[in-house]
Amino acid sequence: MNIEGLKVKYKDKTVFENLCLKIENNEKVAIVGKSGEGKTSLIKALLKLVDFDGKVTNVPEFSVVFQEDRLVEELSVKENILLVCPDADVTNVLNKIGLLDSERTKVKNLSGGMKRRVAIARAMSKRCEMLVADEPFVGLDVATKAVVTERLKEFVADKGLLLVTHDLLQAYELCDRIIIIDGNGVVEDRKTSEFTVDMAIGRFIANS
Amino acid sequence: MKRLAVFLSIIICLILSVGCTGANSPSSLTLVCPDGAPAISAYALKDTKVNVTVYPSASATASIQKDIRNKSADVAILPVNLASKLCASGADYKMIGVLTHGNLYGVGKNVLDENGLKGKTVGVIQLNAVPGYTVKLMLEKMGLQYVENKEEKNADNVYLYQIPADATAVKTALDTSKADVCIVAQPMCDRLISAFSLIKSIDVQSLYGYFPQAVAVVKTSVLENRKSEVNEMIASLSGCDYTALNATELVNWINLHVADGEVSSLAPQALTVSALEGSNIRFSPAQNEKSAVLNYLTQLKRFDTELGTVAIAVGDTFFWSGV
Amino acid sequence: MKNRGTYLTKTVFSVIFIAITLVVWQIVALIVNDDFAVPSLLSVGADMLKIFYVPSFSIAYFSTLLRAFIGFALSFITGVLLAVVAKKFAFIKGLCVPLVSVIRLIPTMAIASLLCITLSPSVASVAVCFTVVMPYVYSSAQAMLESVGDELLEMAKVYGVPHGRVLSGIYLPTVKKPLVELLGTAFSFALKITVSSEVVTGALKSMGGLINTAQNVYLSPSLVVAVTVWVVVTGLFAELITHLVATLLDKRRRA
Repeated sequence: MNIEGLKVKYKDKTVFENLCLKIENNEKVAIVGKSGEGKTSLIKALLKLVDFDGKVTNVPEFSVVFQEDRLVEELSVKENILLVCPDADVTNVLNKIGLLDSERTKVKNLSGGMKRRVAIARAMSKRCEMLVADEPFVGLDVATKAVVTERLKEFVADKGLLLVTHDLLQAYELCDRIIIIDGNGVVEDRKTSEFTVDMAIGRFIANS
Repeated sequence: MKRLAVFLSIIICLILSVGCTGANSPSSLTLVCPDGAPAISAYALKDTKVNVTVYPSASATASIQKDIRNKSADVAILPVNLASKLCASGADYKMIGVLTHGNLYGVGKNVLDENGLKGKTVGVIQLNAVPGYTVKLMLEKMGLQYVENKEEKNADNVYLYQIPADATAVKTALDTSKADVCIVAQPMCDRLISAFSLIKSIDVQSLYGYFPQAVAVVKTSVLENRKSEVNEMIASLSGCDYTALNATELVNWINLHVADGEVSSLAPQALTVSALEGSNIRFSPAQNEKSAVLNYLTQLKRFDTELGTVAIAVGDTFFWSGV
Repeated sequence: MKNRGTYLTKTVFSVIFIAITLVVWQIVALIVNDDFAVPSLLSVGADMLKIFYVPSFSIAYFSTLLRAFIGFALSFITGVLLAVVAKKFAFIKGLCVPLVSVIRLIPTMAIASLLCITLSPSVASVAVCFTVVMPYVYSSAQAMLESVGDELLEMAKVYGVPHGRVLSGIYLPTVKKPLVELLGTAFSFALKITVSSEVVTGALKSMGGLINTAQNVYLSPSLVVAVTVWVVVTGLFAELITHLVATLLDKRRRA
C-alpha cells in the first residue's frame, strides 16, 4: 500500500501536511504517537471516512477494529459478527477469543472489555489482506490482553497488520516495524528491533 | 406571629371586600340567557333594573345550569327541555312563560315543498339536540321516514345528517349537492338567503307547528317575595315588538352584556325585519302555554335513550299561575 | 430475577397510585356533595357499567375506535415513512422541518371547525387526528433513527454490509422496541384527539358526540366522566399491550 502526500482536512484543522508511507504485503506496522497527533485520522483516511488530499494506492482488503466498539447493542454477540460476515465460523472465532459462553448475549449486557473482544472477533471473522486495528487493547485486563495478542498474532500470520496503539509492549510484540508520527508527518520509521521501549516515559527510543 | 396576623387580616379584608362589592345592587333581579334568540328577547328589559348576562352558545348550557343549581340567577331563559330537567332535579324555579316559539327553517337552491322531501338529503344543525329532534318530529308528523345512516338512504325516506351551524359549511353543502336542503335557525337563515341567493325551502314551524323553544323560569322565592318586579319584567317582555327593533342598538346592547368580555354571534346586518319576524320571539304566559309545553316535552321524551333523558315530564307545579 | 422484581415493583406502585387517585376522588366528591360539580366515584362507576351494555354506546365506542385507528394508521405510516425519507435525503429533512412545525402549531379545534365545512364530521375527525398525531410520530421516529449513530453506519460501510442488512441488522434492532412502544402511545394520543374533535365536529355515533350530548342535552356530568374514563382506559390498554409486546420481543431476542 502506497500513501503519498496525505493531508487530512477537518473543518477547523488540517492533520499532516505531506505524509508518505509505503507498507509491504503482510507487513506488520505499528503507528504510535502522542494523543491527537493524527493516528486515528490516518486510519480514517485509509478507510475513506474523512476527506483527504493525496494518493493512496494498492489498497488491500481491510478488516477493521475501530477505536470505538461500534457494535449493535440490541443484537447478540453472534448476530453482530454475522451482520458483517454472514458465513463466519462464529463458534470458532468466539472460542479463540474466549467469548463462546456469551454467544447469545446481547451486546448491551456485556462489560466494556467483553465488547472490545467482540469487536476484535468480528474483525477476525472477515477474510482480509490486512487487519487495521485502532487501539484494540483498550479496556482489556492483562491476562485477556495476552490471550488477544496471541490470537491476533495467529490471525495476521499471513496478512498485513496496521496497528494504532498506545500499548508499547503489544506493538513491540506484534509488529515488525514501528512508525512514530506527529501532526505533521512521520518522525521515525524503523524496524522494531531498532527501538527500545522506555517504560518510564512510555515511548520508543530509537537505538543509536 | 405579628406578620402572620397582618397577612391573614389583609386576606380576610380582601375576601370581605370582594364579597361586599358587586356590580349589582341587592334589589336588581339577575337574568341569564344564551346568545341568539333568547338574548334578543332579553333586550326588552334594557330599560328595567334587571341585570342581564348573556352566555356564549358554547358554554351557555353549563353556565346557566350552574347559575340555576347554585341559585345565583333569579331568572333564566333556556331551552324548555333543560328547564324541565333542572326543575325536576330539585331546582326551585317555575316557568313564567315561553319566549321563543321556533325559528328553524330549511334553506336550499330550489323550491322544495313538504311533498318534495322524500328521497332528499337534509343537513340539520345540532342533529342530536332539540333542533334535530324537532326536525324528526316534523318528518314523523308529515308521515315521512328518516334515516341517519347514508347506506339506508333511498327514494322513499329522508336522509338526515349533521351540519355545522356555519354559513360557509351550509353553502358548501348545497353547492356540492351534499345536501338538498339545510335546516338552520334564524337569523342565519335570512343571512344565507341574502348572501348566497338561496331560497327558504322549509318552514319547520308551519309543518310541525309552533313549539315552545325557549322559556323563562324564575326562582320561586323571587316569585313569592318580589312579585311586583316580576310583573314589571313580564310587562316589558310582553310589550316589546321584537320585529321593530333597531338591529345595531340591539347587537350593541347584547355585546355589553355577554359574559367574560366575549362577543355575540349576532351581527346587525343579519337582523333584518324578516329575520326577527322569523325568530318568532314573543312572550306568552305560562298558563297559556301549558298544554303546548307538556305536549312538546312528551314528544321530546321519545328521544330519551338508556344513556340519558332529553326532557322530564313536568307537573302543574312547573308552571307559575300568578300571571 | 432482578427484572421480575423490578416489574413487580412497578406494577405494585401503579396499582397503589390508581387506588390513591380513586380514594382522593371519592373524598373530594363527598366533601363537595354535589354530583353535578364533582360526580362521585360510585355514580361514575355505575354509569360506566350501565353504558357498557347499552347498544348505542357500543356503536359509538367502536365507531370512535375505528376513526381513531384510521387516523392513527395514516399518521403512523406517513410519519415513519417521512422520517425514513428525511434520514436518507437531507433536503427532504429540511423541507419537513417547517412543514411539520406548521402542522403541529395549527390550533386543533380551528382545524376541526374548518374541515367540517367541506368534510363530513366523521372524516373531519380523522383529518384532525392526522394533523396532530402525524407530527408527533414523525418527531419520535426521527429521533429513533438518529439514535442509530453514524459510527455504526460507517462500520457497515467499511465492512461492505449491504443496504438490506443495514436496515434489518442495524436500524431495525435499534428502533424495534421504541417503535412498538410508539404504536401504543400514538394510538392512545390519536384516540384522545379523535374524541376531542368529535365533540367539536359533532360526529354522530361517536364518543365525542356522546360527551357533547351528555353535557348539553342529558345534563349528566357523571355520564361525561364515565365516557371519558372509558376513553382513558382504552388508551391505557393500548399502551399496556404494546409495552408488553415490546418487552416480549426483547426477551425473545435474548432467548
